[in-house]
Amino acid sequence: MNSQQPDSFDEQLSAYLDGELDDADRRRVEQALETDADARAALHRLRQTTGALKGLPRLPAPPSLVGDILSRVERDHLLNDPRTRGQRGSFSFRRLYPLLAAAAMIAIAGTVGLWGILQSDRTADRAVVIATTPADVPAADENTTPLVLGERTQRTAGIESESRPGMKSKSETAVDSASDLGIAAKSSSMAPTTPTTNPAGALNGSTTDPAFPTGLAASTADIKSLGTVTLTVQTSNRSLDAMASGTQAQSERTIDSPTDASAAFVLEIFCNSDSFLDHSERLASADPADKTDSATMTAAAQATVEPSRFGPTQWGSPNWYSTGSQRVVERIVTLPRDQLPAVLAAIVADGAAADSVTLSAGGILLASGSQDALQLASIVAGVDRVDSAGDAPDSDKYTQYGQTFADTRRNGPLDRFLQQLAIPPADRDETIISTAGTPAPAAAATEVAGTGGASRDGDSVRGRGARVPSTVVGDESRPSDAPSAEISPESAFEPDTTVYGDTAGMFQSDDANVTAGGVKARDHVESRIVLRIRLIGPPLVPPPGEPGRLSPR
Amino acid sequence: MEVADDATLVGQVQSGRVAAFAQLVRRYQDRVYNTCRRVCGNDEEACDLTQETFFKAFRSIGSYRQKSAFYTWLFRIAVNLALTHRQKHRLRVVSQLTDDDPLSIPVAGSQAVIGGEARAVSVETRECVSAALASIDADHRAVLVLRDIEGCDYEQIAGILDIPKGTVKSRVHRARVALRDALERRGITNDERDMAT
Repeated sequence: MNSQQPDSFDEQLSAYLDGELDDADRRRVEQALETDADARAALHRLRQTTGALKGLPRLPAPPSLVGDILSRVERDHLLNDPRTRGQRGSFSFRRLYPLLAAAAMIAIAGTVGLWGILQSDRTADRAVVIATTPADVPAADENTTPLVLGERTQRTAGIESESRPGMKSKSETAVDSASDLGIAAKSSSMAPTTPTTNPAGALNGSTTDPAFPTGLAASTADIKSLGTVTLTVQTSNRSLDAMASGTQAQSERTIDSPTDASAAFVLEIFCNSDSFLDHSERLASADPADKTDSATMTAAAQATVEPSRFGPTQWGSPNWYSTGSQRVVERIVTLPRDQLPAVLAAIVADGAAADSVTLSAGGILLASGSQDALQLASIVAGVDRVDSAGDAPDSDKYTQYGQTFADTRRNGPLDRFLQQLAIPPADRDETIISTAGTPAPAAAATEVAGTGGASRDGDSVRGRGARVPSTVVGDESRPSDAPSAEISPESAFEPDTTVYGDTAGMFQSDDANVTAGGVKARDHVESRIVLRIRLIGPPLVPPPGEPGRLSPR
Repeated sequence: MEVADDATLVGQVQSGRVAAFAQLVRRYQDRVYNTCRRVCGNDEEACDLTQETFFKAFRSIGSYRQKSAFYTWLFRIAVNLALTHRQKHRLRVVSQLTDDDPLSIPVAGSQAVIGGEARAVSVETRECVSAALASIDADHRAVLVLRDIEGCDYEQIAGILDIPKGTVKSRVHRARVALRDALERRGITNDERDMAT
């Protein structure tokens, strides 16, 4: 070994071992190795040491890691995509980022409202203004724009006006906003639909664009370029009890679908039904003698209905309406892609009157609470901004057992429901009934074979455990093990309607006379409308200089 | 199906196609994780570091000009994160070297052998080697992981660690000497190694 420069020579040996010497140095080392036993021994020891390291096994990343990474990346992308970053007016998406990020994190933790309590008579009036340049929003095509929401908003606006004379209702504001956007109400002019089965077996058997990467969180680019856009509008009625007594109604959402990973984009609007549906109007006009108090209903339900399979219900709570029901209808429409902004704008406008709004994409809940989600949605929609003055401070709070909770909804029905999503579709405890593409049957009395023995004389009832022969979508195929119940979709949503059943785990009704143990259950109704919009046409790209606005390529 | 190269995928990500980033993640997650694991010595922290690495890469990819290979750029992020993390949590990491930990410090048994290049070694010896690796200076450990586990050449290591190539050469050697000493302290002697080879 070169005793004059031992370190240097050892380094040379190490580099020789690694094949990192140039030709001249390599020859010098090789000459030394031929004549110097110490050099050979040193090289041998180095080789042993490197061999020990190379013998170590490669440690594979945990299987869940890639999903965690992509979820985080996707979330960040959606929240920070420069093309969706607000750069108009006074609104800066960057300024909102901490708030949105916090909301997203809270949502991911499963603590933010996918289910909540609706308050029947909210005292906080919210002035919502959507500042939009009409020219920036593509004009609605009368033949294709599924403006069901606009129509409903117009229709219900009158209801609100009557109830609050002299006041401009939230819905009216929404209508004004929608009108500003050049949106016409043409729910009857839906384009023909071509639903396709989702081979990935999404929970609700959604239609998906075949090109959309199922199982992978959607990106903003994906949203803009291809895919199925799912707009979910969830509504809830006030209970008759609450309406009668003037007390605050309570309800709880027990099912939701923002975890539908096949959906590129889900904007969910949770609002009082009088903004969208006329359930409450019909319920309010019902014979008061048909109404029952919650204690009676609870007792009846306890006697006849098994607890929800999603977990124990809050039996016995004096202010808990255990007879809650939920009705979900799905409308599948085909929409020219360039009309997405207009439709989203309409949704946003209606959502401005909502109690709470959630926004998710690719199964990731991005934001919850009216303003966060609406801001995001407005950005994606290309709407300038949504300003809200006096948004209800309790959007993300709910009351139960006399206590007010804020974002602490762990282990609630929704969480348990979400747990179901981790179960293979065939083993999930749910029923999905589809009447997509079939004419709506005439309303007829049908016996429902739920465990509670609920029956109905109205037009849409399903009992717990009811299995209805139907067109089953996706992988959600389940045997028909009970007498059938006919599903009569609400007229505005026929004929392309999918109804998900058994969400509340008890029985379901809308305006029907439902009985449980001989007690009429007209107590509490939730309805959810899912608009699945299948986009066609060229991808949307932001125009030059307007990275936040979408327009056809 | 044609597999896109890194540069193509990076370009797609830079143009807004996030799905392309997923391919990059899947392509490199194991190597990044393995590197982080060897440097920081903890499974859970390696997961966090790996996730953070890709997250940072995603956020910074707009400024990545592809002057160096994506792999080099990505590993620079990973190693920097791991070294920084190691510095912050040095005491904690050392305290975690328990008997239950694969990186604990067992004494090699009589059957401990270390083979030559890439030769399989016993589980017990692997644990000794892992423990020895975990015990040396983090900078040395990083360079050894990159060179002898990840197989990076000096040029790549220089790019990842942002040091001159000459420094890589000397650091690799010093690291090997340190590791050899650590192995000997754990009972893997020259004689045993001679037997093995």
